[in-house]
Formats: sequence, C-alpha cells, structure tokens
Amino acid sequence: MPIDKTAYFIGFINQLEKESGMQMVSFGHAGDGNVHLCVVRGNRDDETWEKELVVMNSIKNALDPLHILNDKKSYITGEQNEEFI
Amino acid sequence: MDINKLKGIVKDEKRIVSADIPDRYLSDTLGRLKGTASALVFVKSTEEVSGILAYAHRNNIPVTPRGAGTNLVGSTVPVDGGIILDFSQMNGILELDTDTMTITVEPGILLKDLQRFVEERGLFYPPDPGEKESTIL
Repeated sequence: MPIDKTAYFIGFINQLEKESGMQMVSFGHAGDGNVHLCVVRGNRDDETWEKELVVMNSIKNALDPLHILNDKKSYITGEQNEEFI
Repeated sequence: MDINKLKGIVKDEKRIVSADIPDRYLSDTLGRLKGTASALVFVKSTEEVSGILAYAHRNNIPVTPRGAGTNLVGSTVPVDGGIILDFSQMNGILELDTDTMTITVEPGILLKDLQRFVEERGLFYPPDPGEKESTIL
C-alpha cells in the first residue's frame, strides 16, 4: 500500500472483519506500506472451511477459466487437485 | 504448440528457446522438482506478454512465469508443460512517485538494482530479503 493509504486500508479490513466474522490479521512493515494481510481459518470446522476454499477457487476460475496460468500452485482443494495437497 | 506463432509475437528468435531448455528453467532454486516445457520465451514488453497469453488461451496451452528463479517452493516448476515466460529481461523502472513514495517497475527487476536506483536518489527501499538477485515478480 502507498504509505499514505495504509491506515485507511487497515481500518477498512478491521471493519470488514467485524461484518464478515472472518478473522483477518493485518501486520507487516509499516514504514514501507507492506501489509501482510492474513485471512485465516481460525476455528472453522472442516465443512465451513471447505466451502470457503471453494469460493477462493472460484476467484481463480474467474481469472483463469482454462487453468493455464501457473495452475496447481494456489487455492488447492477438492478432488481435482487432491494429489497436490 | 506452434513455435512460429511465438516467433510472430516475439520478433526476435534469440529470445525463444524450443529445444534443450536448460534444467534451471524447469525448476526452482532447490531443483527437487523438474517440469517440462515446449518453449521458453524471454519477454520484453507488455505487448509480447499479452500476445503470448492470448495465443495460449486460444490453444489451451499452460503458461508458467518466472523471474530470477530464486523461489524455494516450486512456484516456477512448469508442472503441466507448455510455455515458460521468463521476465528477467523485462526489468525497467517506469515511475518514481515521491509524493506517495511509490515506485512502479517491471516484474523482472532485481531487488539489488531497485535498491541502487533509489539510493542514488537519497531514498531507501526497505524490504531487504537475503537474496538480492531475486526479482519483484
């Protein structure tokens, strides 16, 4: 983040965390605007977590519908990619 | 995979390797996993990248990008074959905005070159991993 927008960004994330109930941790290097945003599993059970991974995979699918862009390196879940877990 | 199509996009045959691709381009720094590829292309511009990705999309060809290849987690291993896009020659500095202390660079620039550029201007680029030969990519 540009350093003059970092505080705004973290405020936005904190608000989003409250609204969504999804645990989000902002930390990093304040001096250079490097926010290591972690959206973490927390205490979610397997079923809930699996559903959320499906949502993350849908983002990958939207940007890379053919799965030709360095595939199988992130958002790995489901039967299709089981061998790489 | 039609190498001539790539040559039509990247009009410099020296930047296209289709035979005997060296092992270091098929793996990461650790070299534990090795992939395969039909072509290794050293891209130099957004237009070349766009043209190659359009060609890959039309023909369902996997693409694996790489910078200096200093990663340790297999991210540059071309597990599905296809095209390797090497960004190491796309290493320019596009803009330095001192109002927001933001610099815009091309993905293949080495950290040490970026650090030298800003330090010559009395500035400081703080992220400082041990590996100075790595890229921003």
